[in-house]
Amino acid sequence: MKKLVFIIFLFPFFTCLSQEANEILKKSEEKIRGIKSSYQEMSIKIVRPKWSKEMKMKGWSIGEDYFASVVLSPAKEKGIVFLKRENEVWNYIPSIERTVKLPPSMMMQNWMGTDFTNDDLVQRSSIINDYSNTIIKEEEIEGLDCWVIELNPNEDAAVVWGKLMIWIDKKDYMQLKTQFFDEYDELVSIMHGKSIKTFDGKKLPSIIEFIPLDKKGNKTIVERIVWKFDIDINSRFFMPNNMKNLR
Amino acid sequence: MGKLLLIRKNNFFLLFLFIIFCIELQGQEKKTDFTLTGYIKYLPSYLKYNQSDYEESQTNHLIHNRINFRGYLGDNFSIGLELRNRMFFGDEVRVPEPYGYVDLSHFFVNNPKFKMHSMIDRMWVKYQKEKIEISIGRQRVNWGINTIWNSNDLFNAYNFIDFDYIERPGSDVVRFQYTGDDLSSLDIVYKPSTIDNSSVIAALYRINTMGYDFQFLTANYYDDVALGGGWAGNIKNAGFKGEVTYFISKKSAQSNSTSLSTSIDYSFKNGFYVLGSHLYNSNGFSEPEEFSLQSVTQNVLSPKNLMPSKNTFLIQTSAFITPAINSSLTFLYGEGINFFFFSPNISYDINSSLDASLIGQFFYMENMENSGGIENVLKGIYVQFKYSF
Repeated sequence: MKKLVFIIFLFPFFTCLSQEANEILKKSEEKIRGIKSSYQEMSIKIVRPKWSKEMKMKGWSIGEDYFASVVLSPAKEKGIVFLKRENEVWNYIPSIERTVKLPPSMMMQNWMGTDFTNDDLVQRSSIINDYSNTIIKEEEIEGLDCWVIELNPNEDAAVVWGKLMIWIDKKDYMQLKTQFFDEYDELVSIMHGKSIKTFDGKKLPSIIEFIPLDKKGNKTIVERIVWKFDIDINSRFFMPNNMKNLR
Repeated sequence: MGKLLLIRKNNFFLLFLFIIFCIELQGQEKKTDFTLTGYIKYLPSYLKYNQSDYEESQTNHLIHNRINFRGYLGDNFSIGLELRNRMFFGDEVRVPEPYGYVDLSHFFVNNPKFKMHSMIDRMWVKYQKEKIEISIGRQRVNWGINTIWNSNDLFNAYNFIDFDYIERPGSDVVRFQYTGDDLSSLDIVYKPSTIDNSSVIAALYRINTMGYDFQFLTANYYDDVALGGGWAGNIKNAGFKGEVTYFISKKSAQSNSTSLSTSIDYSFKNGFYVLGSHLYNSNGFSEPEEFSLQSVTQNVLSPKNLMPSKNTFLIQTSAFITPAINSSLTFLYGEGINFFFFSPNISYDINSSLDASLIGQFFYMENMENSGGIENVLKGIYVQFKYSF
């Protein structure tokens, strides 16, 4: 009986916490993607112990469901497009003028030699819908107070990670750090948000550093050059037939 | 006379395009933009034959330049022009015959051991507005949805062992495309010809449902009526794709034929990729006696005959050795004719514009003179340096 009372009293407390975490994540995600849509231009640098590579690309999105990106440089990869519509992903290869539907196993692959996966790129899994969340503590990152939110995948969700921990700053809802855990609860990668700038009236980290911990000397640095929100874009833009037109 | 007719027909085409151009450009702000991309490749090769009707070995060199030009004229018009310039020198140099409605190729030098050849393989004008797209000219109509063999690729079927020409030839067509809101689309292509009964008209309808892309096609295709379809989706986490085309002969039911290709592919978390594929070609041979090496090495220009064997099986794997070095291995078996093909490939991403590859192609078949043992008949080693711009 005592146990039951305890659970009944605690239950509203937990749901309240989880709603709060939900709200924080939602605000933070909306900040990155815009309430409706977003557009970005970025450079991506792949760093390896004896090799490095830089790419430039553009990306468009509507909410979590529609995403498209096109590679601008280097020349040999120019025009390669990735398109996501809900759960399906396509890849357009300009040299052979063909659209290829990507199988789910391809989503776990590293995207064009970077340290993040195809899934990360097209944000196929949703941190709000595919994971349950809790605020577990509060911490400071470079003088900014942050909530630390733990995300555990829902049972039926097709996700890449076993657990995520996200540091979100309390003032501007910026994602300043993310830890990625595998299914054995081992920390495998860290992502840092750095160099805060104002994009389209929003304060956001302009540089994201993604570091896989199992590969020494490897990292991927994403720098946002242009970032716009709630742009005028139609869902017809995100059609497989339109991929060849992106540039 | 034939040539005169051809020129007059071409002029009609050009006039038609010019009129559309003028009408469209009048009402538009001039937002023109041009892009130029391409590459230069150097491809030395060494071939060693083990067959009595060939020279024992050959060394060839190819310098290959591709230029891709695009123009964007206003919101609705675009033009494309792509050139393939090649310089060959070596023991045996073969250049495919010119093709298309108009011959857009030219030999600058044509000696047995040295050739300079240019070819325009894309030259089109496209008009796009909302759901409609109309394009006229030499273009790639890529109806393939499967990975290796494309039974639905009616317009530009090509030999899959030719790694030097991934872009493939274009077709001289008039093309109309309509894209619906629900990922459905209709593609109608007309390919005129100066030869009687050689024009092609074909339609392809695409839909997306249950996580699958599906397509259905019908065509008046030379001596046949073609009916077909294809799919791309997945079984669990593996990709599952396929295409089938049934060619109904207008002349005799005995000449009806089927091309069916399927494939399953899977990517492991560590980057190791594996693909298995099967091709059924009812026109294929099933006895070793019927088969010769040329039927593999010479260009395949029809989806009715993608491989010489009735049933062909293929396994392909690829993996990154280092971030800059990728390796792949292709193994092919032609059942019945007992043909084996094996091709290892290593490519090195030297820097943002330079790549180097080492490609091997090994062909094995039954030796008919020597009581039917499997023997190597051709070894090919290719090195490729590619500078992209």
